[in-house]
Amino acid sequence: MKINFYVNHNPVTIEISADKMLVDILRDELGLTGTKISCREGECGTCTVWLDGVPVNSCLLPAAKVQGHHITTIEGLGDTDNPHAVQERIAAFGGSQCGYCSPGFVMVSAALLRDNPTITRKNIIEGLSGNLCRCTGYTRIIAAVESLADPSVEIPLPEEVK
Amino acid sequence: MWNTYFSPENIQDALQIINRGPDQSRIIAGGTDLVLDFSSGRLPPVDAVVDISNIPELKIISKDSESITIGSAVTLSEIIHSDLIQNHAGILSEAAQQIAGLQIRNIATLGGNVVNASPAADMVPPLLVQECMVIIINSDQVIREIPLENFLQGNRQVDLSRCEIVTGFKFQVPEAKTIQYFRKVQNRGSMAIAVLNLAVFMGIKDKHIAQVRIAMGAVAPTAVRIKSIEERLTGLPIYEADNPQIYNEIHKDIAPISDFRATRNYRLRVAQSITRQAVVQMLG
Repeated sequence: MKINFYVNHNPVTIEISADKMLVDILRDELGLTGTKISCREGECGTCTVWLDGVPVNSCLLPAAKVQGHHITTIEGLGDTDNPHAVQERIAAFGGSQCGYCSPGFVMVSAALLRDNPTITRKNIIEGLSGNLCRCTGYTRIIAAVESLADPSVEIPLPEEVK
Repeated sequence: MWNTYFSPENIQDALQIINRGPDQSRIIAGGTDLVLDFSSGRLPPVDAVVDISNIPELKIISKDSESITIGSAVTLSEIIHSDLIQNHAGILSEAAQQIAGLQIRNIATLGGNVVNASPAADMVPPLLVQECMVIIINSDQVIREIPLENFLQGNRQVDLSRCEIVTGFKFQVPEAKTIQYFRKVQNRGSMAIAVLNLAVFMGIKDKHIAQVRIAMGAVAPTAVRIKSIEERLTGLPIYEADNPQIYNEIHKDIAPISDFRATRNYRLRVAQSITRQAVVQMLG
């Protein structure tokens, strides 16, 4: 079947088999490999994209569903020349080690901050509950996001170092 | 998983497509459970999936003087952000907030959670204590309404034929003075299936419990009303409601199993204690 939709504001027309998931179209057909695949069950959040500005798991989203809609991927939020504030801050705070979970965390965090610029730490943690990280222990990711809502928040350091 | 994906924009078109081959069609709304059912092989491939999430009348949350109706394709996020739900049946919003994570809630639907009929479905106990009706339309455009209690027939089994679509859920507007409560017991803070879930609905009059409805999930093939405790509480003065004796026969209404989330004994003990805690908190 043919689908027409928008990816990062660019119109896309593509022929797909009807039971393809969006993540495979984005990565394999459109070469947008910033969106990652890990669990393929909607549990880990590495595949997070925006559907009309709303974070969703693209591993579970039939591509047929996006007909006429706007998809935003990590490539649409920022890059090394022009990073999104969330990307810059997570990097500065040491909230990325292997980097595999990072696009997903950026996609959700950017939406959370956009919708509530003074979001609380509690609500950040709830909002990020669909994203898993095996490397960082989450503290620096959460602090990075919180620092964009509350400028007084600093990089969390162990007590011995302070 | 499927050959053709249809996205009808009205109910009649959806029914027409299904009617061409009901045994070879499957309805999809959000798909967050269904896609996994297909990809894991739990469901065999079908010819057609019919996506009902673009049908406007299935996306409405409405209220009239008598009742509130929620369309089957309303997403969990839409329920959470609905002022109408927050003001009249807040436990639906509370339950939705504890399902999965943000990305899932933005796509998953109320209809999907109910029709999928997992014994642990979190939206079911709150709907059961509203004494909710399920609204169903068939391919002859005939509409029937059935109490949710009867719609749920067993573990992932519902009273729904392949020629039918659930269009919405309807319940009486709760009186302003009713107290409602929801709690989900789970092994993680989020992204977890319930070990148990509980919804309570209570009306107080002259310092007595005039009316109480208690529903619990993940303790039987479907969520169930705890009639033994409801009977003991109804008419009781509120200061007597914390008596542990009232809650010690809950095992008559539930039939929990042991699974990798919890043992049968754990569920029996927790069922008893959280019901008492709920009532105490509601009356406190």
